[in-house]
Amino acid sequence: MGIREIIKNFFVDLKYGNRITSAVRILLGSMLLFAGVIKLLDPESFGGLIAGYDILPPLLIPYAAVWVPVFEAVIGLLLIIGYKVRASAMLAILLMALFIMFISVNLVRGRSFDCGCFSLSRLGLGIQEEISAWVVTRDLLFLAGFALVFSAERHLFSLENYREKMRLKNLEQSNYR
Amino acid sequence: MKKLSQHLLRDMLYITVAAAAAAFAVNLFHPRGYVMVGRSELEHRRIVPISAYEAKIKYDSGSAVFIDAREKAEFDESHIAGSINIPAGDPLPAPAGLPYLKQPKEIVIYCDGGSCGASAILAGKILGLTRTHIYIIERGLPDWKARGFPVQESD
Repeated sequence: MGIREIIKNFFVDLKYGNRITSAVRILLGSMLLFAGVIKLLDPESFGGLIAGYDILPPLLIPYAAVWVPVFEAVIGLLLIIGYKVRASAMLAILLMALFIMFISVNLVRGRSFDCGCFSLSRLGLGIQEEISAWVVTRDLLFLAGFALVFSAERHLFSLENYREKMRLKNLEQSNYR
Repeated sequence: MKKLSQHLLRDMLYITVAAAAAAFAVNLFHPRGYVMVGRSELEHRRIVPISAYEAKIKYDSGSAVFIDAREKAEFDESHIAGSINIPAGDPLPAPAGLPYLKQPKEIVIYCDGGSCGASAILAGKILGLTRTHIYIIERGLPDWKARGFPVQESD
């Protein structure tokens, strides 16, 4: 088997869904869950952060501050347990696109402030997350990861996979009986 | 393929709505959550009761306009020195007659003690015309007089 075959097979596997896509799914899901729960601890200061981006009208900020953290956590949880994976991956892609848009607009404006992505400074880790091209690149990487999960047809270690297995097993049994 | 994308959109909608419902439920019991407040109630929070002593601080700084909400006869008898009279019962003068609303000055309203409703009525009338807070002297003119603050009596 030539090197081209191996590479081609690798991408075919990736497209169909193998351990790599499942690992990406669970990792990114945990990341979203973590980010959501951290933000959920303090909706008020998260609202302040959103206001700092200066894009949403003030009227909508409380709603966004209440909704976004739970939304992130729910999508993350769904990705981890592997239920409605395609839909949640698509929503995650949209969310990432939204974050990227918010950050880039403020980069273009030439502003600099804490992006509030994971609120790491609140955990006392002393890591600053100033908005920068690096943050945008990171979010683009996340987006690519979600796109990979979205394109996969099979998700190992997931509820969907388990249910499909059970269904096929029962089908088999009923046929032979 | 079309059916699949329909399923996808439906699932996305369900997840979004479920997250929103969960979010508002969580927010309801969150110690640092957002509280929904009626618009009119939010407006009325701009009416702040203060004591005569606090009013005196504003008086001395010269940053406040004092408005007497009582009837003209009562006003003529005695009022806080330098205050103007707008009886709460009368119709409000035209905005041209209220130049101080445009000035960067605080508004302090008073009437005869705590039980008189004139201050609150007048504050409610003026509320729509200004963006600033409106202060009401809680125990009114008697409290002001009792502390020996400047009063203009009729001769």
